[in-house]
Amino acid sequence: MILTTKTQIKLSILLFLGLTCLIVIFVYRPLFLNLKNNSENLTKKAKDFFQVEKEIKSVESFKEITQEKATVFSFLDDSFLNFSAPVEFFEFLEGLVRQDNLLVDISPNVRAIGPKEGEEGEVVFKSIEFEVLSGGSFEDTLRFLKEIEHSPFLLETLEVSLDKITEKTTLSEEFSSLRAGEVLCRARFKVTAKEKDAISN
Amino acid sequence: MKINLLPDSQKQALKQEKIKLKVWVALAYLGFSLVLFFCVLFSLNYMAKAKAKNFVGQTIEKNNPQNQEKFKTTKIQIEGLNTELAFSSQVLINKIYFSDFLERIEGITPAEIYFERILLKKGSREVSKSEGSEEKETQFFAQGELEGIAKTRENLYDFRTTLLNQGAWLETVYFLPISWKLPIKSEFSLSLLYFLPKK
Repeated sequence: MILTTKTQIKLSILLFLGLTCLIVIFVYRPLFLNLKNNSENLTKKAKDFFQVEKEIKSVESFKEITQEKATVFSFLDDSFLNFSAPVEFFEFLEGLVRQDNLLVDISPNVRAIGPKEGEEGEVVFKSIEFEVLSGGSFEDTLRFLKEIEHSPFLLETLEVSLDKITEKTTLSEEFSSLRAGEVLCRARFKVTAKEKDAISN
Repeated sequence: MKINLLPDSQKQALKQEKIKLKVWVALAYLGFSLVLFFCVLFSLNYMAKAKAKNFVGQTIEKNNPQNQEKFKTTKIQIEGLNTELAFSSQVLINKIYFSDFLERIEGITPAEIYFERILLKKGSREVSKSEGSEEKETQFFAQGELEGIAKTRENLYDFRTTLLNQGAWLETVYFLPISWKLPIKSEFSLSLLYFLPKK
């Protein structure tokens, strides 16, 4: 059978189209899908890589910041009392008493705030309530109160009562030297604390 | 100019042969393009695979246990600092300075009036963030109860007027009715709310 030239042209076009379809279905399609998967995978891996790099940079910059701002961080840390041994607050109050010429009696009363047990590394805030009883002139008492309230400790004043001493006022032994006209002040403060020993360990 | 002396049938056959040749050349071009396109896709695919592998290698290298430990420690430190800063800021924002109140009240109290007893307690209340808004915020204040003696009833009245004109830092200034009973040496009892002045 001899094919005419026209038929030959038609046949070759048909054959070419058929072959192209087969190539597209069996070669290009899987290749495209594969390329799509690989590009997605590449994007993901690149993201992971840049994330790790970013974290490394963050760690380095955090180290730099902590070194640069060491005084600020130390100030922040010092504003919390050591819950197990709040020595610094007592020392601070003793210093004020000497300076302000007042009669002072302090009684701490522990109360925890926030979650009782934190997860690993979690900061758990607690608080210690102090009741401070002081006696002296109004000016000294006010200065004393002001110095406590503006101290670097993270504290809240919960209650303050000021009573003017008269002839009739009955005073305890510690405050017996107070004279009429002077002031007896009872103040309650809540100072925020944390377990510093546990953190440093 | 070419002169074609062939018969018509042969002329037609020759023409068709030429068309066939052109079609085959076109198909060959298309086929070649398909192969070239395949090569391009294949190399892209290979490159993507190789690059991904390279990233994985580098990530593993950088994400070694030593660095992971560093990340963990730093994360804990940062979270701790953030918690501390947020907590400190909250405490400081809500702090009421009772000594400031005492100083302010001392500053506006005339010599004819003196206090026998001052009691201040920290309190709070929920208020709308803005007028008409349902969103609430907690407002902190010091609740004060003050007792004392005024030389005359007029002195006490003037003192009351001074307190009422103090503006936003004093609220609900209230004298017990018994305070107005005596014309001289009036023993008074006063209650008020002190708010932290806005800076």
